[in-house]
Order: sequence, then C-alpha cells, then structure tokens
Amino acid sequence: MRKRSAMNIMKRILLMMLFTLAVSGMASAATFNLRADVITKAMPDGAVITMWGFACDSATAPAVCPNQGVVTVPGPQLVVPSNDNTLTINLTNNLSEPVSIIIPGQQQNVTAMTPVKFTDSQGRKRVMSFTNQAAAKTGSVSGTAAYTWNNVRPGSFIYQSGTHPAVQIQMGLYGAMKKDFATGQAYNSSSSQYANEVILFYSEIDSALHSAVATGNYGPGKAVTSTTHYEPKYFLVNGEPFSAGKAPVLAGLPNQNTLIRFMNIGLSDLTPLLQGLYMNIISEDGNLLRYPRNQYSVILAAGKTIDAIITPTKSGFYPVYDRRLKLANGPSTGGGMLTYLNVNSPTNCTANVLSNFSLDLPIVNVSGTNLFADLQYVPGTTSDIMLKLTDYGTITDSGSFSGCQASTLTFDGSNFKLHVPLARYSNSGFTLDLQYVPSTDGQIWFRLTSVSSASL
Amino acid sequence: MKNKNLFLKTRLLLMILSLMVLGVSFSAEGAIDGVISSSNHFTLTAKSGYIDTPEGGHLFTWGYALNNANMQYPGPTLLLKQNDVVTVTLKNELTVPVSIVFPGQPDVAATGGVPGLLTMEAPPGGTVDYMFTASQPGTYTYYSGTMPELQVEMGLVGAIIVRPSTNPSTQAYNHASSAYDREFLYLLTEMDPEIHRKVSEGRMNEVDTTTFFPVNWFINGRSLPDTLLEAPSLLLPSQPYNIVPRMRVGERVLVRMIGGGRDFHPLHLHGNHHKVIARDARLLESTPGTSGADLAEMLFSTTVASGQTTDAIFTWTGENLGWDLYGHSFADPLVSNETFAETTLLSSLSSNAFSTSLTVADASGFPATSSFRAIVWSGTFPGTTREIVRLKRSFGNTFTITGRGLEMIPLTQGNVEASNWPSGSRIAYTDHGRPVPVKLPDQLDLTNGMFWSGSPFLGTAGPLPPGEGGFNPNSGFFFMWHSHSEKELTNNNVFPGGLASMMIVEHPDPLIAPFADNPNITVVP
Amino acid sequence: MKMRYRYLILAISLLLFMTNAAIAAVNVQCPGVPDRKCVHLSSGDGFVQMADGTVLFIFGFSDVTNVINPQAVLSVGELAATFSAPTIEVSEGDQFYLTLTNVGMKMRPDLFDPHTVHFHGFPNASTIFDGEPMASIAINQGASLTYYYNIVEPGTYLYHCHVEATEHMQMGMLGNLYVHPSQNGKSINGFTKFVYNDGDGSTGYDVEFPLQVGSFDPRFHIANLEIEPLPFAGMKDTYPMFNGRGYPDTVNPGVLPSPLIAENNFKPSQPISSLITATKGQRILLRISSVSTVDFHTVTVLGIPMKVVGKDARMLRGPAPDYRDLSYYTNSLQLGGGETADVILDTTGISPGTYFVYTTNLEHLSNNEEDFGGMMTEIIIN
Repeated sequence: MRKRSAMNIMKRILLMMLFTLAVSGMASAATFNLRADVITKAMPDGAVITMWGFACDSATAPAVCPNQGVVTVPGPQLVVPSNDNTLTINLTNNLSEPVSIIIPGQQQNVTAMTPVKFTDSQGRKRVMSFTNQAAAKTGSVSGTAAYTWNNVRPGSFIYQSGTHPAVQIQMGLYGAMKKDFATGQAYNSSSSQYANEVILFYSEIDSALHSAVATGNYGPGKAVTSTTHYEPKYFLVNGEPFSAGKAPVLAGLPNQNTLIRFMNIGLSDLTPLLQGLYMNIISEDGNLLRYPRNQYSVILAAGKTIDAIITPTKSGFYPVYDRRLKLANGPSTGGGMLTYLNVNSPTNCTANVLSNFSLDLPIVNVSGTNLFADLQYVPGTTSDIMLKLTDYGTITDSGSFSGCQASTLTFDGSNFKLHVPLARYSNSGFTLDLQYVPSTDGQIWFRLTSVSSASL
Repeated sequence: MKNKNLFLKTRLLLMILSLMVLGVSFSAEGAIDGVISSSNHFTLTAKSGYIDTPEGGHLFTWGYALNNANMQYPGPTLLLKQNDVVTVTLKNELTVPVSIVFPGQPDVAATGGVPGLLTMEAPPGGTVDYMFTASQPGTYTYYSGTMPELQVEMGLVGAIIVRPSTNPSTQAYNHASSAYDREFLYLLTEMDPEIHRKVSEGRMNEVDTTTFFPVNWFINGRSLPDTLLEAPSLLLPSQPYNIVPRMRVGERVLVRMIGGGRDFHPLHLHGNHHKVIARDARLLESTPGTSGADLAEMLFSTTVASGQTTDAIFTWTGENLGWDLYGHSFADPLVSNETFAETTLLSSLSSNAFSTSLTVADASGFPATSSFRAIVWSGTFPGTTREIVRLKRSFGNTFTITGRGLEMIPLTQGNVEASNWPSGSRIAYTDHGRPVPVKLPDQLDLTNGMFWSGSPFLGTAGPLPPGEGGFNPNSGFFFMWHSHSEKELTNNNVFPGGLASMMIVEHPDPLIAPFADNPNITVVP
Repeated sequence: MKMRYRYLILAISLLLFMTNAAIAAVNVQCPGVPDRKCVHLSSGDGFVQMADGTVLFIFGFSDVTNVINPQAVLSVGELAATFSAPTIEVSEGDQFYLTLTNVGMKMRPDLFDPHTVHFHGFPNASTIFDGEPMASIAINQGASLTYYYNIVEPGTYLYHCHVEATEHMQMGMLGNLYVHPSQNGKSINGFTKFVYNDGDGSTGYDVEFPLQVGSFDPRFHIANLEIEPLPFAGMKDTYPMFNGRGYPDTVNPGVLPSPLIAENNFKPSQPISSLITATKGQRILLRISSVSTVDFHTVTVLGIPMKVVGKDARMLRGPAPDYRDLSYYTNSLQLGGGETADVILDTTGISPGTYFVYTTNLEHLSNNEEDFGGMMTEIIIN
C-alpha cells in the first residue's frame, strides 16, 4: 500500500544478521550463564514488590541471552536449539540464601540430582534443595553452581529454583525453557508445526510473602513461618499484570498456525480461556499428546505447561484470560491474567524493512484498530543512523499485509526497542534500539543506537 | 446433626411436601428448562434482585432476566439449533456497565454500547446487540465480560445449548455416539455472601475479589435441598431451575456440565461411571467430524473447570450386582435390561465334579475376566431341576468351575436341585433369582434415609419405622450427584446442602407411569 | 413380579439421620461361598499427630478382621481410628463381604452418629450398599452392617463414610480400596502384576505404592473435640498430607508412633508410609487418589516421567471398537476430591538416587505454620 525506495543500511543490517545466524547454527552445547539477584517490580497500582529473578549474563553461541545482563521475572527465556542435546546452566548466586535450578520434565540422567537436606529438632531429615546449590553470597563472593542436562528433549518447560521452592518460586526464581524438534515444529509430529509462536507465562504475587522475605520477617520464630496463608494479589502474564493500554501479543496471520505455550508457575490452578477461538491442545508438560484436544479453554494446573495451536481464520484481537477470573490487580478491576492475541496485526513486512522503514504499531482496541508509523532513513554527516517519522495513522486495508511478519515495539519510558523477526519464526531475529531525539525542525527523529540479535 | 437450623428444616419440609404432593410424577423431571425464540432473537435484561439460599440466606444478586421478567439466577438457558443466526439484545438496568461474552462462539458481532475489555458493554440504561451463528452443536456458557471477577460472582452467568442438525432431540452432537434418552444441565457456581453484602450496601469499592471465599454452592442456581424443589417454584421466584434427574433402568442420561463460577468442582456421580464424550462443545474424537466420541473416558468424578463445559453419558442397568436387583425368584419373568446370557453346554458335567472345566457353545455374553454365577438346567427355564455354579473363563468358550451347588437355601420355588448335566443342557450367566447375599441388620440398628424405600430391590418397598424413609413413591434408587469437595455440601455453615442433588433410577415396569420429558420452556417471539 | 407401593408416611420427623436406641450386637457375615473375601471394619474416633507435633482428633475406621471374638470388637475398635483408613485390597471376581461395626465415639459420648461405607466408584451400585445416607441405610452404634459387593471392575477406588459427609470426611473417615485384575499371575512382557486387564502388559508393574492426597483443617478437628460449633464455612485445610502424614513423616518407612496423648491408649494410628522404593529398572505403580474435602491438588514427580494408565478405576482406553490408547505421559497430575489415577514410573534409565514427589500448589508444602513439610515424599531408586 505504500511504496518505498531501497534503503541500503537496513539491507546491510539484515544480511549481517542472517550471516551471523547462519555461521553460528552448528551443533553444540547450549550454555547459559545465569545470575540470581534481587530486583523490584512495580505493579500498576504503584506497589513495589521485592522479587528474586534471574539474569542471563552471557551465553555460548548459538544460545542467545535475551535481555543480556538484566534481571527479570520471569527470568530470561532459555532457547535450546533444535540440534543441541545438551543444556548447561552456570549459576551465579547474588542472593542471601542458597539457590539452585531444576527443570521439571528434563532429566539430568547422567547422575541423579544431589538433594541437600537438613535435620530438624526431632532428628528427621528434610529436604532443603532438590539438587546441588549455589551458596549464598557472602561479602562480595557470589556462590556458584553448574547444572547440565543431557538428552534435552523438545517441548515447553519451566526452569525454577529447586531450593526451598515454597518461598523461592514465589519470590520469582523461574523462567521459560524451550526446545523445538525442528525449526517451526515443536514436537516430532507434523501436527505441531507452526508459523508463529506466543508464550503466555503465568505467575502470581502474594505481596505479603515478598514483604516478609524482603524485611527479614520470614523464617522460624519470625512473623511469617510458612506459606500456608498464600493469598496472591497480582496475577501476571509474562511478568506483568494486565493494565489499561498494555500491548497485545502478536499471534500471526489468519489461517496460519500459531503455537501458544501456556506455562503456569503460580501456585494456583488456572483455566486460560480463548474468547472467539478454539485451540488444538497438543502437549502437556512437554509430552506430545497422542490425540490433540479441541477446546476453547484448558486446565493449566500449578507448575504445568500446555502447548496448543490456534489457526484463526479471521484477523482480530482475541482475548485470552484466566476463567478463574484472576482479573484484578489487588482490589482494582481491569487487570490480572488478560492478554490479547493480535492476529494479522499489520506490522511491517520483511520486504518493508528492505525498503524504506515501515513500522506498524498494534494497539488494544475492541474495534481492532491497527496503527502504522513510517520511518525513513536520512543519511547524515555523523555516523549516527537517523530515522525520521514521515507518516502515521490508522491502517484500513489490513488485508494487504498478508504475508507480512510480525514485529513488536516496546517503549521503556525513554527509548523504543523494535524487534524484527528475520524468518517466519520469531525466535530468530534482531533488535533495534531507537532513541527519540528532540528536534527543532518540526520533525520527529529517532537515532538507531544499537542492533543486536535477539530471541523474541 | 450439628448446625442444623430452622431454615433448613423448613426448607426440607417444603421440598418433601412438594415431592409428596406431586406423588409419582416429579415436575420438569425430563429435560432442560430454558427459552426458545422463534425469531432467534433473545432480549436479556441485566437487573438486580435477590436469591434465597436454604439456610435462610437472602443474597443481593445481579442476573440476566428474560425480557422484563424477574432477574433470574442463572440467566435463561438459551436453547438454540445448529446454524441459528442469533441476536441477543442486552438491556442494562444495573448501575454499572454490563456485557455478555459467548465462549466457543466464533465471530460474535457486538453493536451498540461502548468498548470494554472483552466486548462491547451496555452502560447503565444502555443496550448492546450481540450476533453470532451457532455453527456447532454442544453445551456452552455465557456470562458478563465486564468486571467478570465481580459480575460472574454477582450472578451474571447462564447456559446455552445448541442442538445438532442431525437428530436434534436425541443426540447432543452430529454423531450417534452422543445419543441419549434424557438430558440434564449441571451449571455449577458458588458465591461469597460478603461480596454481595458490600455491593448491596453500595460499598462496591470495598470489594476485593482476590479474597474471594465462597460459602454457598449451587447447581442451576439452587443449593440442596432446593435443587429438589419443583421448577419453577413460587418460593424461589428468582431461581427458576431445579435439578432432579430421573431415568428408567437402561436409559442413557446426557449430563451437560458447566463450570459457571471461579472454582473447580469435582462432580461425583453415584451409581455408576459416566462416559465423558465432549469438552467445550467438541466431541472427544480422533478424527474431528467423523470418528465420533472414540476418545471418550469413563470417570466416576469429573473435574468441572471454570468456564469449561463437559458432556457425559450416564447409564445404569444394575448388571453385575451379584444379586437379583428386582428380588425375583427363578420363576419370575425377566425384565428388560436384566442380564441373561444363555447358551448350550457342550461338555457334560457330572455330579461332584469340582475344578473341572466345561465348554459352552457361545460364550460371547459371558464375562471375559471375572468369576460369575451361572444357572444350569435342562428343558424350559427355570426347569424342574437346575444348579447354580460359579465359573471363571479359562480361554475361549471353556470355563473352570470354582463353586457348585450354591444358594440351596434361599431357593423358594421349584426348589429341585440336580448335579448331573449331560452335554446339551442349557446354561445362563445371570443374577436372576439370586437373593441378596447378606442378612440385613435389625431395623432398630439402622438409620433410614428419607429416600430409602425400605427394600434393597428396585421398585419394591419394605417396612420402615414411622417417620423414616417415605419420599420415594416408586421405590426407585436415589443416587446423590454432588461435589466431592465435601466442604461444598453446606449452605453457609449449615450441613447438609450445597452442590448436590439426587438422581433417581426407576423400575422399568410399565406399571410405573411413564414420565415424559416435560421441560419448562418459554417460547418468545 | 410384584410391584408394591408403600404407604406414604405423613407424620414426618425431619431429623434425617436420627438414631434409635437399639439392642445391638456385633454380627460378622462371611459365608462360605466361592471367591469369598471378608473384611471387618470398625468405625469410631481416635487421634493422629501432624508432622509439626500437633495432635488432632479424628473419626475413622480400623481393621478388626482378625479379631476372633466379635463382641471384643466394641473394645478393640475403641479409639482405634486410623488415617488413612485401612487399605482394602480385593480381586476381580471376589464376592466381597465388608462388615462395618459402629463402635461409637469414645471422646464424644454426646454423639450418636451412625456410619456407612461408601464404595466410591463401585459401578452399577445399588442403593442399599451405597452408603449415601439419604438414600440408604446407616448402621447405629453398637451394631454391624455387612455390605456385599460383586467385584468385576479392577482399579483404584476409595471408600469413605458418607454420613454427615462434610464432617465425617474432614474428620478422616477416608480409605483406599484397590481391585486387582484377574490378569494378575499371568506373565506378559515380564510382568505378573497389572493394574488392569490390558492384554498387552502396558499396565504391568513390579512394585506398587499408595499416594492418597488428603488434608485437614485443624480448627475443625479442635472444635469437634471441644464440642464447639463446627466451622464448616471457614473450612481451610492447612495440613496437606500423603497417606495421612505430612513431610517428613511421609518418608518414615514404618508405622508412625502413636500420638503422644494418653486418651488414645498409645495406639498407632498412621500406619501408611509414603516412602517409595524400587530398584533401577523396575516399574513403580503409584495409586494416586484424592480424598481432600476442600482443595484440588496437583502432584508432580520430579525427575521420573509419569505415565498415566488409568483414571477413576478404568484403564485409559477409548470405547469399543477401537479401544484407542488414551494413556499419556506428563510431569504432574491434578486431582480433585474423589478422583483417582494410576501412574506408572518406569525407572529404566533412571539413575539410583533420591527423587521427590510433591504438590506444585507449593503453599501446601507446609505443616500448618511450619515450613519444609506438607504434601511431599521421596522415591529411593537403588
């Protein structure tokens, strides 16, 4: 619908990224260097929650660190390439108590895990950690531990702390781990082929527990001695509760297969419900089902992962929400476990990236409005890559975007981050960081500050 | 006996009186009450009102009313046909915005109102039209998509049934594996009265749905014993639906279960396993659209999950009880559904032969793996001589004898025994004529339930002390169908109550007046 | 055929479960019929000790099958309730005679509650032996009722008292009932024990262990002992358990010592260990059931794939004629109260060591206010 002239810079970036991905696509052991650390997370009502999370500080190619060096909850998504059978996690612990990492469903089958136990006052042994721990940080010395999984099998999994799980998992020590059977195919069955992928990672926050832990009031003889009074106040999808204006998740195009990986690390059992769509439930806990199940809702018990494929026939915004109605942020309505799937969001196409830069921003609106923004590369005298906003508005003929790829735009308050998928599969792509540059020329300018490969 | 209060007693009395007045025939026993629109246009009005709970609770409730009728809980059950193009007009008489969502229905077009998070909403005094094509048969639900964590709790929830284009009155789906004789709805919900109290007092801003703690549980908007009251009942003007499933021996009962609330409920059906054939209005089938429910599961408890629907077929024949369900003697004729697999002995069976084997002509009707009781005779059944043996299949048509000369004492008619059987004698696998194998305690040592007939036998009453039993006019078998989260068998701190009803199996004898499917169906233009 | 209608009685007492004064006697019926299996249970009260040391009053059953003098049952069964209730194991083809003798509540002499056994899941049940008191009979104190069941369907069942169901079940009248298939004893694919008549050995196992999910609300048990109004509405279980114990008592391999309370005559009351042991290469059968009266629970086995082969006492196969294989692999299983499942753990390729079974509803890894407990146990692979 909009003609563009060629723009070499973007083409060069693309070629560079493709080349990088190609040469690194050799079989090897995926290694992630994770760090457990403290962060705070702000809730939509202003509450600030102390959490424990993971950061990926580095990874051995072809494994890629998402959000390199940044502590997040859930932790960085670990993608084990299809041709890798071994996953290694080197854990550095900056927390004040020992932590560990387990991945339910993935067997560490060279040797059994080595549980850590303590003896209670009656001489009974109790497990503290299901596996070996990284010691608490003492002084400036962080504890470390290493974990290796051989024969990593395809599927959707949750890595999580295996130490004092009742507390540490609540505190935020978890993240998604996945491996595909092949590119664009989740399992060893053609029924699991997909063109697009969405992860819906559910978790909960009981702010009272976080506060007790953060203030040193959790433990024997203290104000809070167990998690029995669990009463979550916040209900999160991919680390954030819903709040007004939250961007929808891009979920491919009509008549394409989109894989939804449902994961629940909350302590409650959920029922995600797709409004207006059915899904084929194809796997449970990383196990391909013999027969897919066609439902609009799925029981997602605590700790469980479910993979399902949707094939919407029409574009639109499809709400996915927990039918147990955990849809509040504390006492405030309009929050919680609600996500919109944006099918056929007319975002920029790969073809558009090759030409002048076109960016289309989806917004949440029941009427299904899609916005676009056009950015034009303007060669300058400095080495900065400057992009000028030339047009924006509402997309009316979204059908003409058929075949386009989905990109996402996020804004962290000062800078934009644009994720551009390279292929049809969103886990291989690159990220452009765009910095808004105030200008007196009446134009809206962005500076391209960095380009990196990314797992989206 | 604890915590039982006057309200419950009064309610039980009313229930009992209604059952007694109705005598043999219960009202609306046979099918699903609801509303049909000849033009496929339903108008639902969101309004407030009160519901009553058996312990004396009077809960402020929001509900969907049909046109300008009373608010009702749950909302009207919409009875649709496959491919109906349906319009639901929502009028809002509440003081808050409200809406309807229709999970499982594709392409719901909403016109009017203002945009909400899940659909278009009717502002107070406003209207929205929802249009969709009921393209696939099955059991569905609808509920408010506006602040649903509060409004579903407040009562804005209902059921939709879409009948298939093939055999719409005898099948749930377009495949024979969903065939049924009778159908019943189990829309399960719960309520936290604290929330209702705050809303009724205008303190909605104090409601925190994260502290939700229900203490009342409902099937089709009523709690035990109101579930058994007639439908509709003048006593419960806002709760028009009851749940009293009733069947004859051998019939197939379709149970349409819907998780209408926020909690999961394990629905346990006494009496027999049930076959789960569909979830979320889709048959459990390996090849969608063709194979039928070939992935059906046999369960004795079904997890009814929030927002999810489950269809199951229940049947009950009394087979394999190990005694004669009807209290027959040998000479009595068989009734329908009574197991009597009869064939010819191909080997002879001499007297006092134990641990021997015998071969029959056709063992297809005999149990494959279990030991069982069989009758051997010659001539016309019951014959002048016969013998009871116990057999276990060795292989094919060959069986091992594990017991002989059984049940000598209880035989009361034609009591002639024999023990020498030539090849060509007849043999049948059956419990026909076998008495109950135990002696029942003295009546004084028993506590008799109100639905207990006084007799183990179907269709037969036995002696009971004054004041016990009495509410089982046809001497049917009553089976409780209930939540197995037993906490949910209470009404706000009062036991018994909650998420329970009784299913009645009736004798197949034609002397019992046939009961037809008489649902209370409102037809609107 | 006779069809008799009884007169409707118009003078109604609304005390549904009213008991009568009776001159009662213990009466065990165990006739000499083929394939006979007899069990005698007493029902009464007792005590258990939670893993944090708290002693709770319970109602429950006790196995008095081997008490020779029937009248002695009234004293032997006194304060003998166990939790979980005694496990009943019968075989397909059995004629099962189950006698229940109601010995009364020693600690609650004010109560005259009758009791029943509900064979939960028994197919094609009759009302007389169903134990649901509104539709059936219940046995009064000091007397016996013998239930008869013709056992035809193998699988993992439950039994429990159905009288005043919320109270009696929260108080602990809950047990396991297993039916072994007639295929047992045949050798198929190296197995001689099976969950079902599978014909192909797919449900074969070497060792089996019960895993009964349950939980208690201590406030309810305390109120019951102290003859206070029972807090039905506030019921919230905070002692999650496997087989009647919280971790780490679950892994005590023996009978748990008697609760330290003199009234109980120091009778042990928590006999069932949840410690699971096997030799590498063996197939472990977990008979998982939930008797929780409040919550759903999800149970996970960390490090060993779970193959679900049965649900609610039926093999996971579709209906005739295709009998499609509905068994599946998973890492965890959600069960509501009154649901059961048969899970096989194949330890081929599993390294010797310790593995954990626990609920992923992680707040239930507590013994009330005590951490590092609750619904957890261990598997030892040698």
